[in-house]
Amino acid sequence: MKFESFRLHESYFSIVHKSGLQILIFPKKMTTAYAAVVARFGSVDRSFRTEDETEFTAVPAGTAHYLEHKLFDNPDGTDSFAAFSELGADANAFTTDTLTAYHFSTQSNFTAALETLLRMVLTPYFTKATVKKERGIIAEEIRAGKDSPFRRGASNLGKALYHVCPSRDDVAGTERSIAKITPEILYRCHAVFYQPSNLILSVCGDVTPDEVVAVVDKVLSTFPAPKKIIRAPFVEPPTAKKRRVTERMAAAKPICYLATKDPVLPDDPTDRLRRDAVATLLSEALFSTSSSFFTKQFEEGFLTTVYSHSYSGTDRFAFHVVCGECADAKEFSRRVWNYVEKIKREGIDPAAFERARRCLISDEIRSFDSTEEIGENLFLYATEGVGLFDYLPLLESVTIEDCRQLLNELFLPERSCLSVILPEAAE
Amino acid sequence: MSQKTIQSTSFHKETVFPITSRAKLYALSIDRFKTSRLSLVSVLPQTRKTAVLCPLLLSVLTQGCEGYPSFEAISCRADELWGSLLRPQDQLWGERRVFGLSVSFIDPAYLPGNAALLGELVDLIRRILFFPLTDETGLLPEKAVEIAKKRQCDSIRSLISSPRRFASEHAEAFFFGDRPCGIPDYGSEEETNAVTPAELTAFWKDWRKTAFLSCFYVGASDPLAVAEVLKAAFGKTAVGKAEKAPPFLVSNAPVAAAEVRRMEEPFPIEQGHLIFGFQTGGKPSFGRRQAAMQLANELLGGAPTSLLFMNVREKLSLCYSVSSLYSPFRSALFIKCALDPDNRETAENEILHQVDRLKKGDFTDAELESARNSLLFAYRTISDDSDNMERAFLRRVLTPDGKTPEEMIVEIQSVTRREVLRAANLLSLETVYFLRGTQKEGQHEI
Repeated sequence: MKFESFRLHESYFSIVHKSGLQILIFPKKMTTAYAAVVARFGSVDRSFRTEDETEFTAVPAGTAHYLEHKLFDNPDGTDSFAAFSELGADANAFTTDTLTAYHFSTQSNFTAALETLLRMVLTPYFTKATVKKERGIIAEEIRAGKDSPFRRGASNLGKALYHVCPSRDDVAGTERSIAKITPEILYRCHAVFYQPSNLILSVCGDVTPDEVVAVVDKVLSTFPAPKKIIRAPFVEPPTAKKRRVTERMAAAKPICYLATKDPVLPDDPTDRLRRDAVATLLSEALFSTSSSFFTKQFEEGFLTTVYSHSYSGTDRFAFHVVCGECADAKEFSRRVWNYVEKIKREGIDPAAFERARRCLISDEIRSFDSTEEIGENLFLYATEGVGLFDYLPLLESVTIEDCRQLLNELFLPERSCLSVILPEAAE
Repeated sequence: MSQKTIQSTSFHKETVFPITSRAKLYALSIDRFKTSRLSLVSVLPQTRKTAVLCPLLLSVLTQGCEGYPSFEAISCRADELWGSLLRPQDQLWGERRVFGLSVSFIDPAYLPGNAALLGELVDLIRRILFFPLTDETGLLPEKAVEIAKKRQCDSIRSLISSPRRFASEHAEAFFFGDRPCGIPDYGSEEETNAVTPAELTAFWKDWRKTAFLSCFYVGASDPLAVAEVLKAAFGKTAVGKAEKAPPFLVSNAPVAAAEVRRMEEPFPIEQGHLIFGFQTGGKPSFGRRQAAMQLANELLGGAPTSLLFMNVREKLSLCYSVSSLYSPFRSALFIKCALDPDNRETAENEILHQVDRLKKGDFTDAELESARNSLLFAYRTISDDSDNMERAFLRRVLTPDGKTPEEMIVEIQSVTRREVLRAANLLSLETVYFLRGTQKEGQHEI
């Protein structure tokens, strides 16, 4: 099926391969072509079964990320990085809460690199020795995160905000949790989550759908019958587990994350995307770097340029967060809440709303300048069950009234949590 | 208006236009992007004074100008212009600072009513750079200067929040010593706090009077039209005597010390950060010599299949990150590794063993070609990103032997194993810096 955006002068194709693999191809005349194979398997997938099983399998925190590291090993003892490099392709991978992505960019040998990528992802090879060897590398990756006050603040926030949702744990797990990961666990996860029907192939570059499908046909000439995956349900209370969490470590100033949990997770992907658009626009109107909130605090010297705000929504969790390096953690929380209450009373400034709308529309247009960004967005939207061109018209349709309603619904103190990193010497 | 076409490929064309006696437009016409990019920069020497005053001045200038009297007003104006991204430019290139403003903006074809933003944005930049707020005596306002000083001191202190950056800056300062490359970002807190509105105003006035403005445009608009917009905006503003950009000077490194210098600092984190500093022949490299050293660096620790990555990380599992970075303008190469402090000695021996392998030519042709592919990939991908295209353009215009990315690709393709070995044997270890993490797992439980 072909999808077109006349506004953006772009189009892409969506094909479901006979194996169940979803293929998305965005032809774009650029020097570099990008491809990614994505498994709908992220750090939150900690307990699952297939439709023909009765018992759930629980896996340690960090399993999806560990599997990502180990899929680069080949049965002949070689490393896939070398194979990509020989072809002139630059390959890498990453894991999030909800997915694992393996990708490459190249200016030559695209089909050979695509074949290498597909074979790598579909060919697991784990031994006790290779799994054990990776432990030291991942432990160092975990320690690097623990040494960063920003990453530590975000990590503490997840644990304090959520009662049971697995997104409360770090994507890479802990040194203790990864010590429990075995080849058997990795094989089991691969068998369940890396079946073609749970994968997405996303391509952007100067390539044709025929070229891509020919490679998929070659690699996936045989394939297992798809099995439906059932993730263990969990009931996450709407309130925050803790209202505040504080830790001291080496940092220049207090670093604050003030998050509010959004318990409304629409089942329909388009409804979820619309909620994301309204929340993101609301966040931009309230907290952007041109907002009256930030500019006042920045001009006063209370906030520094280390500042961000965002809304993250998936089918299993959603939250809004404002993060800032500031002069005083308690005061940060007080100022954010006072500001939110003021906006609730006085309404959202129409000029701020219009600026926010323009900025987000501009960001969306800007994202079509890079094959890598297009390729990533293709699969990010696909894992959420929507299309790449769906977001821009939704953004354009959001009204200030939509934002006002969500403001009253989203920002409730009992659903919020403040995660603070205090400099070691601070009182 | 006279113009000169200096480069043309199948997908872009480069043209140079004079704007005033001391401003030029370097336009790169390309229609593959939905955004355009414009930067107005000048080149200043890196000294302790400019290291302190350049960022401070940009901070003051962006706090308000004629027509937009506050940071909020300037930010709102950029957002009104369809989220145009207005950014201060203050980068250190060897011993030069590249100083000014840049803006990235959406092309009219994608905006309602085909709204053209270029003229409005050039006007905003002109006001910020040339018409800042001043007090009744003509000085930059004391309040704005004090706020900028406070923010700059915050930035200096913020180093402690990033152990990796802390280690890099300290290792580089240790390596470069008194050379301009060794001056830390923003100078020191003492130097920052000592700046007065009078001193900063004099610095701004001197810059305004003498700076040569290099304007870089990457986008789909007709370069002649861009030049006309700039000429209308800056024709009367920019008056002075300079006729060309100052040369991009880089001094030679001092003679190598007889012994490797070592430094160790404790830090309350779990990891250690081990950084080796190498001289790369004592003088900056351009053209083919640069290509050979870049390839040697890629083979050593730049590529995902490099000697360091495959051995220190993949074979011995000593770290998650290990890499090398070659800086041709500074005539230096750094190897950086984050690791368990208890593994320091093993890692140091292994890293130096891999450097030794490189120098002896103990690598396969496949490893060399893999490194070459990785480096070629990096050069070829430049044309897919307007920021990188501008950077490559800027670099070419401002350096003595300015080669295009396409010319560098040709050089890299033909660099021989012998040339890589020759480059590798220029590497001379000068410093070993270690930021020793002093905490053990669990000490930070909340």
